[in-house]
Amino acid sequence: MIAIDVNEQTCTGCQLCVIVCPSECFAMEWKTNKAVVIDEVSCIMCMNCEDICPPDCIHIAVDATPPVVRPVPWEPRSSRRDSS
Amino acid sequence: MKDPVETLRADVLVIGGGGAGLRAAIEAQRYGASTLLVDKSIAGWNNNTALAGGGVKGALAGILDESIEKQYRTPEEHFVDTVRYGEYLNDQHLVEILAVEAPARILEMAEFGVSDFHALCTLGNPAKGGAAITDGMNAARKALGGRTVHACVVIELLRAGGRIVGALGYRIIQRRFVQILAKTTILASGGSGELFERNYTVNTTTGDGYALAARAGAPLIDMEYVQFSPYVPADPALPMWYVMPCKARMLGVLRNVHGESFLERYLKPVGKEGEPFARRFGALPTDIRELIAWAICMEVHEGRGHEGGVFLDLTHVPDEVWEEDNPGRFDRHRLFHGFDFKKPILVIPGAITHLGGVRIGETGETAVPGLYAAGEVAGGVHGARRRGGNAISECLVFGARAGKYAALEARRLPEAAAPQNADEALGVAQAYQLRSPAPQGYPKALRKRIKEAMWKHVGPLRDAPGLARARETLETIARDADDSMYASDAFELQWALEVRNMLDTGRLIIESASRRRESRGDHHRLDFPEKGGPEWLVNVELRGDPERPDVELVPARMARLQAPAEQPAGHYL
Repeated sequence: MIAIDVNEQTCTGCQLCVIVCPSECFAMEWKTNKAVVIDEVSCIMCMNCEDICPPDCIHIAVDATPPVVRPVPWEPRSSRRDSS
Repeated sequence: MKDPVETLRADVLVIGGGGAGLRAAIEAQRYGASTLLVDKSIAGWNNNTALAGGGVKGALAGILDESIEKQYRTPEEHFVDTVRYGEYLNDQHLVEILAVEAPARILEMAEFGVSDFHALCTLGNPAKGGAAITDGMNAARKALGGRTVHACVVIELLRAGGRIVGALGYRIIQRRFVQILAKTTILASGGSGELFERNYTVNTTTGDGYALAARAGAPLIDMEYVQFSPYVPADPALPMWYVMPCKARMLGVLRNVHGESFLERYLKPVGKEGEPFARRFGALPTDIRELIAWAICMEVHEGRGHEGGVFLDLTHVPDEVWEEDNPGRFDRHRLFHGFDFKKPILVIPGAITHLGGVRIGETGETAVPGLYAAGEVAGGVHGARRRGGNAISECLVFGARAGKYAALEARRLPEAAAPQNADEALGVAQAYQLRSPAPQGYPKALRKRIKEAMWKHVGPLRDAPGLARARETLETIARDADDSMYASDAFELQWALEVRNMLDTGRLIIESASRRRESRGDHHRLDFPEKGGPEWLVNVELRGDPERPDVELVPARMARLQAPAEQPAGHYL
């Protein structure tokens, strides 16, 4: 799974991550003037946020936990019709 | 809370910082014009060219990667294939230019630091395959002295005495309105993917350019032609825009709810069962995306789908193929959400490219003096269907042309006159700012409603009742927006302005789709499932107020290649 981490201590509230993210994973929390992550599932790992963040406070962490995807309605290998 | 207005001047204003916009700005600078490029995001960073995962097309077989997309030996071959695949709705003069100029424009990328032509769009970061192109061009543009206004959403094109003299924008970070006065303006603002709930595009593709051009009086063509991409993940646990490695995807098998491979029902197989896609169907999947998308939608429509989609089965793809894609790519994808493709993935098609758009001539000029257009926002190159790779070639070729001719025109002209509609445009944005927040006027919620309606009724399969419902729904949303859409911060103002553009672009797509009462290319009507006769070799041209555009069916511009009198059976692959 993906985890987007914003370091609240060093975030300067410049808004660049919100602006460069193609999947709208970030939003601004105006009260504290910090960026917050609102959607991790939509992250496509383009790394725009990590690359642009001036104080380098965004990190995309990946662990090996597989996402829980919907079950397939047939048994993938046994009912295979072609033998590719 | 009136934000101040600043004024900037340039010879050439470029709206959009993707492939076409960057290329246009480079060429305009080279021709001695001072350019100013405006981007909603950061120029070169968040656009479909940078995040492209495919390739580029041109008569450079042997130089460009042929395992992802077909490449051509000669420009003639490129021309003929583009027109035939585009169902003869292309403007053949534009296709001629594309075919002839693409090789030079692609090889020229070496000047911008792109050295590996073999994999022009598949280098490096798998989710950002085109970044080599945009980064290179962006650096070249800046080195030539091109100026930039980042994070600036364009509200309206400015007019003076029948000419476009720049644009009014809003700078999101500075929270300031900006009036950019320019002798000529190039629209390179990309497509409309974000109008559809399911899409395979960056979030900035809200159809702004179509709406801006239409409101400025420029005619648009082929607005019904939205290309849908087949392999868009639909599992809620995965991002919809999940760029899968190209070479592995080439081996994928699509299966319906029963686990049956079903593409054979829609595309005549030429190879044996179990062979890779290209041998089985005689074309690479990236080249015939819309046909696969249509097959998926028909399968679901006929009741053999699962949760509205089908499964892309890559379980049989050997690890070597994943690894072959490019070094490190396999590991990135395996790590990405911990997902290793050992389970078939639920996919539902999504909008990827808008094929129609602003009508342009050979120099990129529109019918409105002072306004040029290039890239996805322009129409006419692809016709009714698009080969994979032609979009980036189009950006490079027509971006360069628009930049050149906009600069040459600007050199002859005096400073831009004072605009006549600046106050009116400013009023539109300020009205949103002055309104108090109410739940029904939240711009992001309105945007979501538009996306749902467009996807449900104006998606890959269309019919008259659905299009009528889409129109009603859009008008309801438009009334809500007129009554209560508000913007209490800078991002909300951006979304509100995007909603306004999405409504206008949506109206144009619906109007155009309602007029084409046949199924041709990427426009599939369930109520008119057959391809029409020669009377439908026309472009639906819209002009005037997007709410009530004037519609004209204009014969497609054929030059050397005439459509055959008899429609051949089956699909041209």
